[in-house]
Formats: sequence, structure tokens, C-alpha cells
Amino acid sequence: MPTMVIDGREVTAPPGANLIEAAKLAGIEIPHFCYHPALKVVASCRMCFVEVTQEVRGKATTRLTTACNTPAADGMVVRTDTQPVKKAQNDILEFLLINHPVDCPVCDEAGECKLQDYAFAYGTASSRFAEHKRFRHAKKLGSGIRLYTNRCILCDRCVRFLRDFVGTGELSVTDMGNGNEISVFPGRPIDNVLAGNLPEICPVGALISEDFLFKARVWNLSAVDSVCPGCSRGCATSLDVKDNEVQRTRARENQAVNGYFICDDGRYLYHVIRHETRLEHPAVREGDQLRESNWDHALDVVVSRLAEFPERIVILLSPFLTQEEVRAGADLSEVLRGSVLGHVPNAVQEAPVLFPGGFAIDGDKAPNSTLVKNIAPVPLQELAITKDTVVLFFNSSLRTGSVSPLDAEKLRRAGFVAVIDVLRNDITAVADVVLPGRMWAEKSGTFSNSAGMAQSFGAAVLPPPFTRDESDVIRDLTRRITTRISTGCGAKS
Amino acid sequence: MATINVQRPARLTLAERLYLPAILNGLRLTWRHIWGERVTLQYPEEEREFKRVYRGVHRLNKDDKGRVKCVACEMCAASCPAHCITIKATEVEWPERDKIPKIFEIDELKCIFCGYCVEACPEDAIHMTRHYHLIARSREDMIFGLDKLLAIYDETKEQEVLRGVDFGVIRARIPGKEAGNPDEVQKLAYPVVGVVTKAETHHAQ
Repeated sequence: MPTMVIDGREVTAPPGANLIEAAKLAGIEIPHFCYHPALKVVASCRMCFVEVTQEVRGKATTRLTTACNTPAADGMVVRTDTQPVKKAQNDILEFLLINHPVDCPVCDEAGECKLQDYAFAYGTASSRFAEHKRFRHAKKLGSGIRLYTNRCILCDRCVRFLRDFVGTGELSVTDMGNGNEISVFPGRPIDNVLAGNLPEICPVGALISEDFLFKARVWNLSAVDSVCPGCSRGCATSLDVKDNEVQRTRARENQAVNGYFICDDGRYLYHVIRHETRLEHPAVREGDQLRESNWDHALDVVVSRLAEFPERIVILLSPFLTQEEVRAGADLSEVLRGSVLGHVPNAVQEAPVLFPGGFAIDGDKAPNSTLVKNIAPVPLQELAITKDTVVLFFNSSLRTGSVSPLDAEKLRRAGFVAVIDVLRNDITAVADVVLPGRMWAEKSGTFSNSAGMAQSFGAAVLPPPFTRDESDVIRDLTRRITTRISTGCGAKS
Repeated sequence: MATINVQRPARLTLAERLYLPAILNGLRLTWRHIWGERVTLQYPEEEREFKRVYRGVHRLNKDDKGRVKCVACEMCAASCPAHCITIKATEVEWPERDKIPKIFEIDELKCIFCGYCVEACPEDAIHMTRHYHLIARSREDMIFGLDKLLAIYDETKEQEVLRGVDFGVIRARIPGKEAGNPDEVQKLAYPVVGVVTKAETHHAQ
């Protein structure tokens, strides 16, 4: 454990840490563009200059050095605020801004741009560059990524990310000298499922997401900590909200799960929140069509049907429910004597992916499979469903096709199906009572990922007005049922 | 018990107690104004002229091709202390820029006419005209959209109005702020906001 002094503060850094990480431990920020903790160190931007005093061949030597490729060593004395350091930072910024268009007002990065922040903190307002700035048009690189070449400072974070972390290497630095720019190979656009991380990795506004393009200025966004419901991995995300709408999803650092990144599937999953097939009103079947109803009536229909002594009651849980909802469902099955608890396994399965950088995407495209299988271990296929069966299916699936055709066929055999769901699908089409639930971004809860780690997430946006939180609905049902049972009605035990 | 000493006002003098000298003094001022220059206007038949730096209804300027000049950067909305500007941007494929407003709304009822939006605009796309007739039948009608703000530009194209650069000049006249161009300051050598007297009207035109 090397111990050193940074700006007069004694710091003990973990072995192998560089000076940027060591300074961060002491609460000192060393500005940097090209250094990223998940990527290889190249020390190409030269922004992280610090003054290091160290014993070299028995003599104390002071020199300027880049902090990112200097490992913390015992007895080092580091200064980040001396005149030579300030001059180096100012000079580097002046160089970087030579060809930078400073089009901050129309740049989506403005407000979270490192170049902007550092220019304010370490640069000067004026430039001595009197010639014309180099001009290049923006390029579409594929996978919804656009390169505003003018804004690029050639830190090559994106190149290293795709080459070393993702392993696909679509990007490279082409041409020489003043012509240097980031490019894809002709006819080979960016094509990988981590491409959405590029705008986040880019310290300036050069790589821009077309999904977020011109949608909002970042200072108007408020971030809510969330957990991705896209697969059983449970990556930490940030939902950026404005005007009660999720504007984009960003990766949140969680070294135990996803590191610094998320996959594109999870990144763009937020579009499902305002999907056109969203269920917004409770509905009850009358004859062969579903008719819009109110909550009190819809729940009453369910409870009345349960009070008619059905032969079997089956409570089905889906892996898209939160931990709290799963537990509420299990409680309901205890109250409802004679009922059987089961689960509907998620049918959306893909091959799991592991990237060279260590990032993994799970094959099970539902967030809470592990917990649901623990609490309700019997899958639907092992349950008997007959004409006289009443099925309560708590689904709330974000994915179409999450109920396999086999399971759907089985559900169709039931005499009565009540379903809580968020999107219109095969099941809601044949159900007798449809109750609209809420998406993960509209409620708080907990998902247990495939490793058994429970992670909580917060509500980011207001739900459609006539929807209700699933655990609230399940508890309401439980309460209504216990009232009926105490007055002498209820399912056969 | 603590003693509190209260400072009573000094007793009035005899002249003050009589009140008459003060009344007469006031009447003298009234008398003088009766014969002085008339300042009352018969509004709405007569209207007051304002200086070109008057901060009235906004307009959105057009570029030399007749297209909206705004690039939807939301600097005006960011600087607006009344939060009365709503902007939604959209993409266009013009050679010189790719971002324009799809929605640009100013709630003229919320607006406090401070002119910060004009000062913040990096494209000189928003100006404040000398129009002050703001009449509508509902609150909704007082939310001026893109069409209306551009139409105001067409109406007031010829008018010299408050521009972003004026703020540099105005600021130059505030002690302690950095000085602006002395020629510009000279041109604006009258109060920033105020009523134009007859003698000064030609300046404003």
C-alpha cells in the first residue's frame, strides 16, 4: 500500500492505482480526458499533468508528469496546483480548442461536457488561434451513433472501448496530423450491443446518441437511480426525466454488477413506458369483448368469481414482478385457502453474452426470475388447468412474447382469468378481467438478479392516471377476499 | 424589569403645527404645473413613443432566407427568471445548421419583460419590440407560439428594437462593470427605460 502526499494530504492508495485514482481518494480532482478506469491507459490527452517530487538515483527530483500513467509509489510528493501545472493545463486546453467549434448552445453534451467544465475551471476565455477552424460534417456511424467530427478532441476512448472492451473494433483513428479523425472502416458501421455507451464514454460532444438527439438540455433533466429490468443481470441505471417522461437511460456505476456500462437493449427499453399498447384502464369481459370499467367493479368481479367456490384457484407470478409484488402474491395464496401458487417462466431467452472487458448480458430477459422460482417453484406447465379453474395471473411483463405459446394455450383453457398487466398481449386479449399495472419506472421496488443480489429502484415518472401499483392491487384483493371469507363465503379448502 | 428608552420624535414647531405653510407650499407647486408643459396623453387616441430599447412583446427573427433564426439552444429558457419559455427542438438537414425549434412558446402573462432572453441569445434570434398592446380573450391565447412570434417579426421588421448587443452597452454604463465601446455608449446616452419626451422623439425613430 503506497503512501504519499498529494497537495499536502497524506493518501494511502491501493497497490497498482495511478495518481488520478489516488487523488480521488483524497477528494482531489485531477482533470483528464483520455483516462477511463475501465480502459487501457494511453496518456494521449496530456490534461492530467501533475508535479511529482520523487527520489531518483538518490536525488529528490521534481518534474511534470501525466497522472494517469504514473503508478502511486511510496514517498511521492504530488502537487496539482502549482504554476507549471496550471500553465500546462491551460496550454493543453488552448490546443484542444483550436479546432473545437465551441458550438455548446446546440451541442447535446453541453452541461455534462468535460471540455466545457475544464475550459471554465482550468482554461482562459480567449484563444490566440486566428486561422480558420477545420470543418467536417457530422457522420452517422451506425447503431444510432453520430460523430460530430469538429467537436472531437481525439482522446480515442471510443476506439479503445470498442477494440479492447467490446472486442469488435469498428472505430479507428484515420489520416494524419491535422487530418486526424475517428472513422469506421468503409461499409462496416458500428454494430454491437454496447454501442450506446459511446456517447457516455466520449468526454466531449463528438459522439452523440441519435436516440437523445436534441431531446432535452441536460441541465433540465433530473436523474433517478434505477435498476434495468431488461435481463436477470440487474444493471444499475439512471433514468433521466424531464416533463414526466424518461428522456434517456444512462449507466450507473456498480462494480459488483455492470461496472460503468449497460447494453443497448436495456438503454432503449425505456421507450416501452409510453408504448402505444400500454394498458391504461381496468377492463371486464362482457360477452365476447372487454369493456372499460372501474377498479372497484373490476376487483369485485374477481372476488365474486372466487366466492363461487371454484374447483381450483391458481395464482401465477411472472418474473417481471418486483420482490415486494412476488411476496404480496405469495401472501394472497396463503389467505386464499386451497389455491395453488405457480410461476410463468419467461419465454424471451437469448444466448448470454460475455465481452472481453468483463461485461456480461444474461440470456434470461426478465429481471426477477431467481426470486420468483424460489417463492413459486412450480411452473405453469406442471399445473392442471381445467374449465373450472380461476386463474389470477400477475404478469406486468415489459416484453411481448414473454408468455410462451404453450403457456398461453394452457391459460386459455381456464374458466376465468384475471390478469394484471402493463401492455396489451395475447393473454390480456382472452382474459376476463384486465387490471392495468405500472412499469418499473413508475414505482419503487426491488429486483433480485441472477446472482441473488437484491437491488432497489425508485419511481422516476408518474404513471398513467388509472393504473395502480401491483402490490397495492394484490393487497386490495387480499383484503377484499378476507372480508368475504370472514362473512362465510370463499374458496373451498 | 428592564427599562426601555423610547426615542420620541421632536415636538413640532409652531409653523409645523399650523399646517398652512406646508399646504401653501404644495399649492405653489400645483400652480406652477398648471401652466407648465402638458404630460397627460389621451390614450388610446394618443400613444406614447418609446425608445428603441423599450422591452415590449418579443419577436423571433428570421434569417436572410426567411427561415427561423433560432437554433433551439434553450439559453433564453435557461436564463428566464419567470420560466415562461418552452422550447422543443427538432432536426433539420440544412447545410449550416441542423437544430431548429419545433415548439417555441412564450407565456406573455408569466413574462416579466426583463430582456434576459434577448441578452442570452447567441444567435440574435430573439428581440423585444416596442409593442405593448397585449390583448387576448384567454390565458391560452397569451401563450405566443412560433407562428405568432415570427409574424411579429414580419410586422416589426423595419423597427429598430432591443438587441442582444445593447446589453453590453447598458452594462458598460453600470459602474464597476467592464467598459463597452465608447461610441455605442454615446449612441445610447439616455436612460435605458423611460418615457420619450417630444424633444427626444427623433432619437427613437
